[in-house]
Amino acid sequence: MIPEFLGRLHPLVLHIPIGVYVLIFILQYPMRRLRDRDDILHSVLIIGALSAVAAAGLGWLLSLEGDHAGDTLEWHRWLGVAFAVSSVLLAVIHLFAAKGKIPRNAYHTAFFINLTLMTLAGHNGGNLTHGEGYLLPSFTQQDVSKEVPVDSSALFHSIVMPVLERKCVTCHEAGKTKGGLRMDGYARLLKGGKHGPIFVAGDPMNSEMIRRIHLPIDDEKHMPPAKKPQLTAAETALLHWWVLNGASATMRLPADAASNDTLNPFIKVDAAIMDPLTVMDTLPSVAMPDSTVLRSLKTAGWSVRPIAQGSALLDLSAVNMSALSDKDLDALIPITANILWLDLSGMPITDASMSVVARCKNMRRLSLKGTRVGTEGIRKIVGLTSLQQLNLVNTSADDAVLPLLGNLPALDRIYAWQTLITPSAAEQFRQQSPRIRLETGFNVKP
Amino acid sequence: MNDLMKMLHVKGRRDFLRGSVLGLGGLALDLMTGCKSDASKKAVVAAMAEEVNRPLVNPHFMPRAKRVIYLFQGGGPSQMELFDYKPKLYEMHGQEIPPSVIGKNRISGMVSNQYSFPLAMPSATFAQYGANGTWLSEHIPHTASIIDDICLVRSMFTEQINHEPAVIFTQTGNQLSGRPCIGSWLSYGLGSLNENLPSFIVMLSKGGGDQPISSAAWSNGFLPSHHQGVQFMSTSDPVPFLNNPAGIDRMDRRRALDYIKQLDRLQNETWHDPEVESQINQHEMAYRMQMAIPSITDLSDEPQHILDMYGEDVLKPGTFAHNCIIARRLAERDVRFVQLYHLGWDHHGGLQGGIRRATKQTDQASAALVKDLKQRGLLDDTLVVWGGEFGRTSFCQGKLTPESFGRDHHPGAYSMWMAGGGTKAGLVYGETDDFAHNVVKDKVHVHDFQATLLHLMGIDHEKFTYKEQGRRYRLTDVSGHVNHALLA
Ligand code: HEC
Repeated sequence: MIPEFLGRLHPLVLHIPIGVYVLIFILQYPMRRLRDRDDILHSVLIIGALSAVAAAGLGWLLSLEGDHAGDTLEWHRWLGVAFAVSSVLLAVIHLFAAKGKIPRNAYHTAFFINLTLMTLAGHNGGNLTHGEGYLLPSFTQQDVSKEVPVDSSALFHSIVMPVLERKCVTCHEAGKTKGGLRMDGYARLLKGGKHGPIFVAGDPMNSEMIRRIHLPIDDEKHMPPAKKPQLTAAETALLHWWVLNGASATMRLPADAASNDTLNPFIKVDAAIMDPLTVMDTLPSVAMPDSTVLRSLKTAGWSVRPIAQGSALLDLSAVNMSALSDKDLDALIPITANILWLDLSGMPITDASMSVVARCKNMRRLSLKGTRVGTEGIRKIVGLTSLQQLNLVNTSADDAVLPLLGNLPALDRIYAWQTLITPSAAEQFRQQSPRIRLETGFNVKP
Repeated sequence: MNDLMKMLHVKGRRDFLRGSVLGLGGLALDLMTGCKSDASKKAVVAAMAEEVNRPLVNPHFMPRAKRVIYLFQGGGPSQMELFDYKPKLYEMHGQEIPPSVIGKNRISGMVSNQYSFPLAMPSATFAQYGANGTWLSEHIPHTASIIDDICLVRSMFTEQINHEPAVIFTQTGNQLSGRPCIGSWLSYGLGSLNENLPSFIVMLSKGGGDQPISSAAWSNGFLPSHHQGVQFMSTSDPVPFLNNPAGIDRMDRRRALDYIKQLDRLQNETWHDPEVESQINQHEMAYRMQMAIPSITDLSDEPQHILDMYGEDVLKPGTFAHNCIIARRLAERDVRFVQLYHLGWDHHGGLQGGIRRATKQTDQASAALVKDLKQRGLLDDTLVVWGGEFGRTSFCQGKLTPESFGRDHHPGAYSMWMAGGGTKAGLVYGETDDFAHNVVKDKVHVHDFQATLLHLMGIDHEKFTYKEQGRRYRLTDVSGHVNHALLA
C-alpha cells in the first residue's frame, strides 16, 4: 500500500532535481551569478542531490508495480540510479573544489556529466510514459496517409495495422508492454495480454479489445486511455468490422470496399463521383474577387454568392433587380473571371451589353431569358469556351444564332423556347450538333 | 421594483440563465482582454454566442440544385396502382399473401384484427413508356409522358406506419414533431435568393382528402422562427392583408415599421433573444411581400396554352394545379423551397374511385410543372420531388369485393420520383418483391433521400448541424447516406 503510494509520487518528485540542475546551469553559465557564491551553490547542490536520490528511490518503488517491462524500463532504472549517485558525487566534488583541494574544472566536468545523465534518464522516462517517438512525432512516425488503393494486398496490413500503430502500439510494444499486451504485429495480437486473448474472431461483443474501445471514455478500462489520442468513429468501426469478419491477417479487401461505409474512409476510390469537393478541383482557379467590388455590386442590387464556401467563383444573379441598363453591366468588368453562373433573366438589356458578358471566360451558365438580346448580341459571345448552358427563352434570337452556337466547345444545352427559331432550323441543328441539346419547348396537345 | 426583480418578472428561467451566462462571459472577457469599450465587448460576446450555430450561408460544395419544389402526396399513394407493376397480383387475386412475404413487417392497428389478408389485384392496367419501356399505370398518363425526365425510385422505405409521424419523419427526419423540416433547414442554411419573398413557402391543396396535415410538417423546430414555412392560403388572396387599410399609405407603413424596429432592438439589448430578430425579419419580409406577392399570384400574363398544360383546375385557387403553376412562378423568382401538400391518397376503402380522383387532381399538373420548368431552362437547377409518407399494402384491407376494396398503410416499400436538380433523368431505381411488399434491391431509406436532397443543394448532411439543448441536430438524425446512383 504505502510503497505503492510512494511510488506514484515519482512523476512528481522527479521534476525537482531537473528544476534544480537547470537552474544552477542557468545561474552558473549564461548569467554568471554564482562565481563567488560557493556557499549558496553548496546548499543548492545538496538539495539537488537529495531530490535526485528521492526521485530514484521512488522510481524504484514504482517499477515494482510491473506495469512496464522491457529494455526501456531497465535503462531508465539504471540511468536513474546513476544520476542519483552522480548528484551526490557532484556535491562532494564541489565541496573539495571550493576548498581548493582539487581543480575547479573537475567540478565543471562533473556537473556536465551529471546533467547528461539527468537528460538521458529523463528522456527514457518520457518514452516510458508517453511512448517512443513521442518527442519527435513528425520525424519518427511517418505522416500517415490513411488511404490505400482498393486493390492493395491484405486488409489487415493495409488498413487495420496502421490504425493500431497510430493509436495503440505506443503503449503495447516491446519496452512498454502495458497490460502484458503487445500489439506490434499480428502474431503478438493473437497472443493477447495478461488476461489472455484480446479478441474472438467473428465475435466482437466478446472481444476484450473491442469491448474496451467501446467503453465510455471516462471508464478506466477504456482504450486508448483518456487524454491519449483517441480512435475516431471510423477507426472504431473498422476494428469492430475486422473482428466481426474473422480478424484474419490474410483477408483481402472486399471488392465492394468502396461502397462499404466502414471501409470506405480508409481506401482510395475513384474519387471524382464520390466526392463533390474533387469536382470543385476541376473548376478553374481564379484569384479571390475584390471584396469592395462585391460590396458595391450588392448595393446595386445584384445577388452575389460564392459558388461554395471559400470559392472564388461566383453565382451572380439579377433576380432582385427591377431594372438594369447595358451600362450597369460595366460594374462586372473587375470580376468577369470569377463569374461561373450569370442570370440576367428579365432585364431590359440589349445586344450592346454582351461585350461585357463576352469577357466572362470561365462562365458555364448564362441566362438571357426575357432580355432584349438578339442574334447580334449572341454573335459577341461565341468566344465563351467554357459555356455549358445558354438560356435564350423569350428572346428575339432567330435561326441565325444556331450556327454561331454549334461551335462552342463546352456547350451542351440551349434553351430556345419562345424565340424566333423555326422548327426546321431547330431540327437541322439537332442533326448537325447532336452533342448539344436544344430545348424548344413542348407541343401542348394532350 | 429593483432591477433584479424586474428581470425575474420579465424573463423565463432559460432567458435568465442565458443572460447571466453571457454576463459572466462578458466579465471574464473583460478580465482576459482588458478591453474597455462597451461596443467591442458586446461584439466579442455576440461572436462567442453565435459561434455554435452559424448558418452555412454558402453551400459546402458546388450545388447542382438551387431550389426545390416538393410535391408532397399525403396519405400514402399506392405504389401498386401507380409505379410498381406487379403481374403476380393479378394472378393471385383473392389468395392469401404468403406469410413469408409479410414476415415480421409491421401492420397497422387497422388490419391487425383482420383474419385473412387476401391479395388485391391493382385497380389499374399498365403499359410501357419511355426510352426504357418503364411500366406505368393508366392512371398517370401525363407522368408517363415525362418518364424520361424523371428519376423513379421504387425502393423507398420508412420507419413509420401512421400518417402524422410518417409525414413528420419524412419532413424532419424524426417521427416526433419539434425538429425543423427540410425547407426550414434549407432556409436557415442557405438563406434566401430573392429578398422580397420568403425562402420557404407552403401551399396546401384543398379538396384532397379528409386526413388532416399538421403545421408541424413545415415547422422551423428550434431554428429561428422566420425559417418556418410561410403558408399561402388556398383562396384567391393567398396572403391576407396585402393591401394597406384605407387611409394608410406605404410611407406610413414604413415609418411605423421603423419605429417598431427601433423598439424591438432596444428591447433586445437586454433580452438577447434571437426571436426578436426573427420578429424584425418577419415584419420586413411582410412589408416587401406586399409588393412582390401580387405579381406572383396574378396569372393574367400566362398564355392559354400554358394554362391548358396544367389542366382545367389551374385557375381555381387552392387546387393542386393552381399551386403547381404558382410553384413554377416562385421558382422563376428563385424561391428556395416550395412545398406543396396534396392530401387524398389514403385509400383504406373505395380505392378504385379514390385513386382515379387523386390522380386526376395531380397527374397532369405534376407533369406540366416538370415540362414547364424544363422548357424555361429551370429544371437543371430546380429539384422536383413527388412522393408521400409511405406506401400501401398489396393485400386488401376490409372486404375484397369486385366493386370495392382498400389498402392499408405500408412503410416497407413505396415509390417516389424526383426530376431535375441534378438527379439522373430516366432512371428507374430499386426493386420490390412480387408483391411490392418488401424492397429486394437498392433500398432507399427516408434519411438517404434527405441526405441526397441536401447533397444536391451542395450540403454535406453530416456537417450541417444546429446545436440545441446541448446536442447537435441534423436533418438526417444519425443516419442517412447520399445515394450516388440517383445523381446525374
Ligand atoms: C497510453 C497507453 C495506452 C494506449 C495508447 C493503449 N493502451 Fe491498452 N492498455 C494500457 C494499460 C496501462 C493497460 C493495462 C491496464 C488495464 O488493464 O486497463 C492496457 C491494457 C489493454 C488491454 C487489456 C490486456 C489484458 O489482457 O489485460 C487491451 C485489450 C488493450 N489495452 C487494448 C488497447 C487497444 C486496442 C489500444 C488502441 C486502440 C490500446 N490498448 C492503447 C495502456 C494503453
